[in-house]
Amino acid sequence: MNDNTKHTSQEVQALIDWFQSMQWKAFPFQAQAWQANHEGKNGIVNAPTGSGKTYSLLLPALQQANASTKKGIKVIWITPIRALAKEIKLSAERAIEGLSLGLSVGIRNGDTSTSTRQKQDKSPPDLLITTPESLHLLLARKGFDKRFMRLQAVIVDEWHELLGSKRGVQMELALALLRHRMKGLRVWGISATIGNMETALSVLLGDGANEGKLIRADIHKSIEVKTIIPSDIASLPLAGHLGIHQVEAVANIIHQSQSTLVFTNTRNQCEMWYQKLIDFDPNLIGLIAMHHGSLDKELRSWVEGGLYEGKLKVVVCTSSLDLGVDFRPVESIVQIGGPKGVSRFMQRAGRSGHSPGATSKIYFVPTHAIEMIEGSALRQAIAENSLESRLPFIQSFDVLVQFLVTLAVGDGFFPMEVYQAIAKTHCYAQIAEEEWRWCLRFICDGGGSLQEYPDFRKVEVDDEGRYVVRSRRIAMRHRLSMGTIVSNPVLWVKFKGGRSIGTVEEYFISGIKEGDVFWFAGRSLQLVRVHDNTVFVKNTKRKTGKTPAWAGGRMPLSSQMSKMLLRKLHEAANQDLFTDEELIRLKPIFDHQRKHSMIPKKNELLIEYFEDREGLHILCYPFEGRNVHEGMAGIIAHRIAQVRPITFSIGMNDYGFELLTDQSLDVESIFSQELFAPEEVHEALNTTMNASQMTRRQFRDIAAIAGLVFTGFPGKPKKDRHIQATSQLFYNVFETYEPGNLLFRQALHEVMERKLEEGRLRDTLERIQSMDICMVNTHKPSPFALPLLAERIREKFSTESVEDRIRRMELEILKG
Amino acid sequence: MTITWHNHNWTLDGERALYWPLRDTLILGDLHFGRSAHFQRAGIALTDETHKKDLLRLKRLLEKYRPSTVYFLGDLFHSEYNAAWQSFSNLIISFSSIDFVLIQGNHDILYHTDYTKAGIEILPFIQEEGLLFNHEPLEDGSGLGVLCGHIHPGIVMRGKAKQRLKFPCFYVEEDQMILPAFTLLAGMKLLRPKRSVRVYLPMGENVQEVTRN
Repeated sequence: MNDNTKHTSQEVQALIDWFQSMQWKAFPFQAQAWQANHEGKNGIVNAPTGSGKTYSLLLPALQQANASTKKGIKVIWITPIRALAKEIKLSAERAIEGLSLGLSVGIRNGDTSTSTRQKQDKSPPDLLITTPESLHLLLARKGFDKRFMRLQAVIVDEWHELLGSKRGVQMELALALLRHRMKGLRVWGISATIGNMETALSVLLGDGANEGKLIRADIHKSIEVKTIIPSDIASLPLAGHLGIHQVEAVANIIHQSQSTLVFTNTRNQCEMWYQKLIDFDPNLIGLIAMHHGSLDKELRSWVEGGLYEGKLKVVVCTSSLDLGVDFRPVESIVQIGGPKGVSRFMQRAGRSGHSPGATSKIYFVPTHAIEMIEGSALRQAIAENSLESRLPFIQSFDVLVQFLVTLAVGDGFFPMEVYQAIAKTHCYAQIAEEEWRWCLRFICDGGGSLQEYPDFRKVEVDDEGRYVVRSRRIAMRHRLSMGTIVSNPVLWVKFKGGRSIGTVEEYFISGIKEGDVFWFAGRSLQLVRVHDNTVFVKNTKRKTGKTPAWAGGRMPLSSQMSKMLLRKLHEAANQDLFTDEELIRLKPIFDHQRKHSMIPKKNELLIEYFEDREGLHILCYPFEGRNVHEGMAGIIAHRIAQVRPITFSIGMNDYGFELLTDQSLDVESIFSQELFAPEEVHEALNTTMNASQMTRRQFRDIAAIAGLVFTGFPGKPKKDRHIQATSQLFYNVFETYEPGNLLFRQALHEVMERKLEEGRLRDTLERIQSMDICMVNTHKPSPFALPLLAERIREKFSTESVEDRIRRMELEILKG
Repeated sequence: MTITWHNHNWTLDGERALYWPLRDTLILGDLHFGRSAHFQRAGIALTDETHKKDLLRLKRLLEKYRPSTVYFLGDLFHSEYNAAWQSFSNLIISFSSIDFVLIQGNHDILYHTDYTKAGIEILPFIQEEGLLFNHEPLEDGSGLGVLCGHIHPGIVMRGKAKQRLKFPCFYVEEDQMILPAFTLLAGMKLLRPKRSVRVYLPMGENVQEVTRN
């Protein structure tokens, strides 16, 4: 036992005794957390999964709940993942029995039946395990005081996952209200290590963060990174992102291991790898499964169950298996393609070798040659424990207006009280009175341009000044839409008999006809018909078909990774510094790059250009991640186009960006530091990006959260497919007639901060100011250029008149 | 821009309209008025700005050509009766010297009295001067020149440097001319025309012919 537990209270001693009776050893951080809890403190326990973090907070909360004999919810345990709830419940029940406490435990989330809910309402459990959404649904019901009057503590699990998300903001709001109304409420979070632990604390506790405690577990795990490099380096393609050519190497790892997880970066890649592994080794059938976010929930839980029970030998998955899902550690972890972030990679690695002191081993499979550098960059980042920060949302008006309607649907609210509560949160600490009043107006009549429409008169003010929702229809719609975050329009994929398989995006289905075959969920499916929002399919033996792609989900290189990658590249530029295997093996490619172009040193920015049949290609390599490159390419294109009307097609990846034009330019005289000037970045981004799809996409989620669009009652999906695009119409209305609309401004802000990473972009531009710009006419693509040229997703930028452009274009015609 | 097709002269207008000098007739495809109001009832409220803009474009065209007759080639009004009909019919009534004819489309589901009150005659199709005015395109026009709308035709232009642009168009086949949708709000169906098809792009101010090499 360590010092902290010497002066233990009776309660803490009881826990230590119970642990001893179970032949467990309390970690120092657990004892610290118990002590701090019994002293009435708030804070965060920083501990990884599988380290006993649950008991560090659950046990003292249960002990205190036991001290009160009154009926009511005493402890709320928030878990962002439903799948974790059962595990927590089992742990709690074991503790309640072991400590001889007379407490009840209940789960309430999207899977909870109506009858269970009703039972809970009549006789509330002492410990309620729930999700942020379900907690908000409780706030959207009448009887707040009765329901929460006995509440003593709220514990938020996996806080690091919630932190950088809108669900985190939801949590902040709920906590602020509960804290405001229940003096002395204890609030604790559990978080894995992130780059900004202090921020995590202040977001969780709001203005009470100063007294918050940060308890660190300090459990270190060693991670070994092994990059899979083919014996013949030339067999690695120079571009591409699927990595299929390494299927044999991956199959070998699978065979040598008891169990394996294969992480891919996109759902499409996941489907492809699943198929290729089975094609390569049909013996895997029955032992292999797939897990990604578009698969039906039941299918996913079946896979999770299979992993838990150790029935499956290999699961090909995406980030859908990154968090929460609890299963036995697997023997080997494979990562296909660069994971783009250090934390994500470490978390995935942590899925293997759970036993204390064991080394986690993770195999990294580069999808193209240059990507091998990421293997060595990752190893370096892990050695230095350089982890990413999670950026909390600020001023999320969409979540705020949703919350206000939630309260109005419940008991109703008085603005003054709620204002006082939310002003203490991290998210809304800076809210101006003007903005607060706008939110109140918005829920009452839609604010500015929507005032004419009765659908937006959701909330009324009663005689006492209380904001309430009177219409049952509005209340019902609101409850149904809470927690729904729409992304791209999706269609359900079902068998004719009705069994659901998952979802695909609308644009994919629009590209195939009845009778066509496509691959999904590892099956070859034939499209029978599309009806409403459902795609009916049947199994088929035909083996050729498309694999759906899903938009989004591609993470940009984090700035931690970017720094490490540049360091490795600079090592490569200076051949004497070669130490990592990846770099040594990459030598032929580096030599090739050096011969046709150059490898930039620390103070150099490389710009390559060449002309071919397509036009003039200009390639620039800041290695700052695709987001920064997208913004930078936009700014550069904009600045060049100020001088002459021109049209660019823009491609980007994590290493650089390409400007492609059908006009000729004197690259050497145009590209200078001035072109990369960090001044007026915000303005330039606004003009170049304002019209882009990015803000519209961002607005889609905001509109859904704020209740502008309604996705339909369950079982009665909206028939008109065109209605799914309506958030765009709102966007147009606000853009044209109400640019001061806070939700519209929020979309712009979120794009700037998150999608374009304005701050990081400005830093990069500033760094470039002190660098030498090296321009090379490569006459043909260099090894660095190839992955970039292969990028299919492109942005457009033009300052030419449409008429001028048409003159140089050709009609797309039916051949033959 | 004036073209000859099926032995008649036609003026293509950049505001997605067609003028037939012989009969002093203005011809308009899919107007879809009342569409934003339709969205509203589906639970999505929209301001009527696009509706207002379409109304203004229509007004300007009527003032520009002062035709004796206007043919709407169907889908004049998007949905059931709503407030948008009033503003549209007020405009129609103010041009009392013009005969308005609606060739009924799949979206035109108002009561006949609603149309007649606004002074609009409804016909399933019109056959005259070797021409057939219809809502939907026809497989076989029996040698008549078919003028129609319904599908909202559009095309894709491609250029060097991965450039790609989409436009609504007048889609002129040998025996069939498909008009672009008049409304700015609607999407379009992208077509890949055969060599024999002439394609004209309404650009607002003017019309641009797509030349082939």
